[in-house]
Amino acid sequence: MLNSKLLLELCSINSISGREKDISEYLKEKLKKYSNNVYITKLNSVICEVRKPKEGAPKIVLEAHTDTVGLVANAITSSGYIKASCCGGMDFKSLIYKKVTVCSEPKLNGFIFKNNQSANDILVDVGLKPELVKQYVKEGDAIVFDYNPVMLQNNRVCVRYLDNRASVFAILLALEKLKEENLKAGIYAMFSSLEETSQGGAATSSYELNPNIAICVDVSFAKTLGVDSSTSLGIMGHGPMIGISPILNRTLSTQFIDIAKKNNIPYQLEVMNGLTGTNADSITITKGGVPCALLSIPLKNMHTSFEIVDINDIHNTANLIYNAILNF
Amino acid sequence: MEDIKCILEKFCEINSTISQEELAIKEITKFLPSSCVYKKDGIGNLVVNKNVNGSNLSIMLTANIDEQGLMASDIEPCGSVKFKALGGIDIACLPGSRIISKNNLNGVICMKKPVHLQTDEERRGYVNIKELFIDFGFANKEQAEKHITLGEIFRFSNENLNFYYSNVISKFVADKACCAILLKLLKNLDLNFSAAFLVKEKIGLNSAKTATYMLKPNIAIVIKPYVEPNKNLKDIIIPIASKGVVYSEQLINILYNTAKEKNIAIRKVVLNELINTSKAIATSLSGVEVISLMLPCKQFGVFNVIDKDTTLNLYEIISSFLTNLASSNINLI
Repeated sequence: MLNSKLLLELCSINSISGREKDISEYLKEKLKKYSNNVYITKLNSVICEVRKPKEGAPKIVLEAHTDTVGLVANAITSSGYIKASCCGGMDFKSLIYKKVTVCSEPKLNGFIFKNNQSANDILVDVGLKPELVKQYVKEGDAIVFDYNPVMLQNNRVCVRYLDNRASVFAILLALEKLKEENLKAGIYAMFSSLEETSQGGAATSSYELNPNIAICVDVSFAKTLGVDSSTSLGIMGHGPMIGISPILNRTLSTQFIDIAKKNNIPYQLEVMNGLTGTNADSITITKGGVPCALLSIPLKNMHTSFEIVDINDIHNTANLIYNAILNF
Repeated sequence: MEDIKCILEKFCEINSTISQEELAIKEITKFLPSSCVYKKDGIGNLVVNKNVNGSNLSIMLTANIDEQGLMASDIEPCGSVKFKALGGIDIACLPGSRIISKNNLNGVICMKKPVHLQTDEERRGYVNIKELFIDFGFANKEQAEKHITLGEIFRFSNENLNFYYSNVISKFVADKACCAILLKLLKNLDLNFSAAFLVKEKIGLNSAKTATYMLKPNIAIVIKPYVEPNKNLKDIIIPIASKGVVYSEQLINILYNTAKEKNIAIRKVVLNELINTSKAIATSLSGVEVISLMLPCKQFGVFNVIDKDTTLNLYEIISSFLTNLASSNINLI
């Protein structure tokens, strides 16, 4: 039985975009209970052949990205501060005074520094003399947020990296439920690297797998105070958001809606008038084209160290995936 | 450092948010030696007299026990809680801060919009308190009102004491270190002097006035943190003047020379800011001679970084000063 401890464990693993080795190794081990055929690709995505398709049945990929936003050291100032750049889109206002770890050798603890001269320069103070900082830290070293989970009311959790470990957790929950089922469809788990920067992990892995159907799972914006209602936002605790977009396969989207209704799974719609900003955009144009569905878990404070999700939404997402797979 | 470390570890676990300092005060009394007589004054300061068979020094030492917090000001229909800052705090540090309610519910300070939905203008500069709210995970206002009352005070989530190279890092640890120095002096020195652990100082209440009235010292030493702009945590700071107070030249020189004799780094500065405590004491009774000694710290929002050697050095300077004063090596006119 998988529980929320696994979600927190997933969030505790550092893997900013382009540095996914640790999470890939971790997932490879976790997935071994579902298949002997698990491997890490050249770009650090993880692929698991859970079940081969029976003759004539579709090859279905369950996809979630494993990389996260973060910072990268790009210079060391004469005063010994580490100048950093964002890896993935981040809000500078959410970074000020945050506790971070510089993934150098040795690892260094530090704080992001409020630079009164330039509001958009990100400087990290590790409290060491400049010569030591220069000795330990190399340009390109990843800088990650402090792991500090906190449980809120209504089964909500606040922690870093819920984008997109919440979706990885949802897929693992679905695989666990599918373990005993006799299925015709082939099931492949694809945990992709590089979504936050290039979507390169999903593009190359789907090329390799060449699926008939892809079910992408990601997070999306939950309604918060002050965001105007013209944006399509999810409501926390109201279930997964089923994506409706010109680039997604409408038949699949409708199927998901019907399955949710039939099984009394709460759901909501996320209406997008173009690209989705997720790996579905890359997977759908793989080879001759892959029909994609997108399920999104509502999330607050996206791309910060204090992202929030409702754990019930993750379980409902897993439940919807499970019931959909039974139908194929 | 061991005894200071032990005191700090305990202090860092305790809530001492402004107007909720009772637990911290109680903890301090546990550390006081039996030779101390203590009581709480009318506003909650802990005033202590050390009574031993030694010299009587009409000196009061002070440190602040209170720490910044937040106060619930409104509950939105969605269940999010608006707040006001309690005590001076840099608003820029608040997004993402973990806080705890009176009923021990966890909350997180959130910004209104994720970066993807912000306009170019909204992305610039620093955050404004109007854009912030606390998310406890409530589904709506009705649910929130069952757990949160307007005016309720929230504390920042506790942080363990961390040691990193020679640095000590924790939530508001600089003020707590000043209190720990004061406790160590009360414990180790066989001299008669007084001490005040002050509450509600950070909201601008001149709480030192009531403590001064109770203890009636001739001289006061105010021990406080100093946010070091140069990030140098090795120099103890001795202000020559701060807003509204010019410190005793004689005392400055004595303390400065005490440090130099002991090879302890010390720096004189002129502060443009107001030190409430110093001004309140200096203008109490018929006037009190005040000096301040400051522990340099870095401030990253609610986190402070201090240097453990500098903390011990500050203890050493005050200890030597009081001992010399008692043995009449120092002549105060």
